[in-house]
Amino acid sequence: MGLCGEGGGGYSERDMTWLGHVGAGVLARLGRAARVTAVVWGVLARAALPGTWSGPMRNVLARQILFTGLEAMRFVSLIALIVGALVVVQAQYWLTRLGQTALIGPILTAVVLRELGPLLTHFVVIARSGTAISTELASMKVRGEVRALDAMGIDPFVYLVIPRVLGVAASTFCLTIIFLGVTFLGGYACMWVILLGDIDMGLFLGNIIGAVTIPDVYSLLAKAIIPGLLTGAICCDEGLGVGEASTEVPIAATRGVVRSVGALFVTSLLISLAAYL
Amino acid sequence: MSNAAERVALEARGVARGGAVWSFALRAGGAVWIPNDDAPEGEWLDWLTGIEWPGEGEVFWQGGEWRQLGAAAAARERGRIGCVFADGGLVANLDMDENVWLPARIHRWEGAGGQIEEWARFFGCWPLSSERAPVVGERLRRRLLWTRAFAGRPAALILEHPLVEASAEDCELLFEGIRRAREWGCAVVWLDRELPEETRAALAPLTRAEARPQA
Repeated sequence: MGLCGEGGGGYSERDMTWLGHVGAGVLARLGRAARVTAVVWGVLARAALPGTWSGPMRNVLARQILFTGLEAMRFVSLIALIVGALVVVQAQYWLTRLGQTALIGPILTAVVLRELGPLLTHFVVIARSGTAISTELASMKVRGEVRALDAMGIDPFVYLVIPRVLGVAASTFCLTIIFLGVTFLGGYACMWVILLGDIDMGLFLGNIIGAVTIPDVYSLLAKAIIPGLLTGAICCDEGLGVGEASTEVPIAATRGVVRSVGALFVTSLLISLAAYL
Repeated sequence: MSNAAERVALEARGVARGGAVWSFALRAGGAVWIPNDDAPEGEWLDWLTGIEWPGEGEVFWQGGEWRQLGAAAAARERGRIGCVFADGGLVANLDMDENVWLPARIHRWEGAGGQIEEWARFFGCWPLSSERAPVVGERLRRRLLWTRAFAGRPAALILEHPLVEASAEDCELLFEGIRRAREWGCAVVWLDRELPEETRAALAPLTRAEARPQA
């Protein structure tokens, strides 16, 4: 109470309440971050054990990759094609005015490979699979299926969480690579249309590849894998964190999406800072 | 068989529930009825399989307390217990045959295929349905749950209201299945509100878990 005294220059009780709220919020977020990190660590550690991968586990992993990766491929490719065209149109418009059209390749690399590609791919994955995972696991919990698995000696963490987290991470990585490839092709196609076919594909791709640096490669790998692991872990955590009421299912799905998006931006920022500063 | 019968499979010591304190010991090949007459459902099954611990008292499996087992060891031991759940008990996004095979594949039971076929034929649900769990009728769901619980020669069976709205034919099948399971030393826990006389006779020798009022 010394700081909250009436006289002197100490903090008032209202200030302390406000600070307390801020502190409690920060602590809660740190706690959640620690739990999600522990889930990711647990997934990687258990997945490395040879006895973990029984037939049903491999089946769940395959289904997750099918849903998150394969079934999302067309949509991701479509978005990538449009993004490639958009970036090229804008770059062509501005760089022509500045007389720097040769910079289109490096700009495409800087914008799409470093930031936009992994971000947009993750958005698609979170919107499609993040909600699906949270909803599915929350429904299983409410219907008592998780309890039944537990009672049969089937560890829900091993059977439900590990294949989903790894499936999402592997799919996101592959989708990011596909996104980049299609974006560059889309960019090339757009340039071809703008310049009426007066463009050499080898030169265009050479420009792009020449602009890629070693930090770009590390950054891309990290951005394609780490947020995917976090998305899987967050959505599983939210899904399995519900109680017994079915009204908690949509809440879990919303929380899973919001927290995954938050984690995506924070990790992307941290990776960019680590790679380029 | 005599040595096996001496061994205590499941034991509850001073478990407080519903204003009473429960203590019983179930030997291999024995059967106990726990009058499960107050909500919430499932508490006994959770305690006996060690997925939750009672607020007061202890539950022992094969002489060891569940709390003392690590997660992996507890999961392995639970694989030796066949459970029949009152509601649900099946994974909705798996086909019925995948549901029946699930514990066998996870725990890598030897000779699981033969045992599953044998019990599915016995309970009249062979070949296993390839439909999803939510679209299967209650009677078939129950028979498939029995098949899953009895396959793998479990050391104990925990049956949660197993005969609700069951036909006489189903009752006879389950009683005969339990008789066979007890022959190999399987301990049987029957969780139900009431037990009709014919069921008690079919499960004989059967002990009723007794409780004393909580102090």
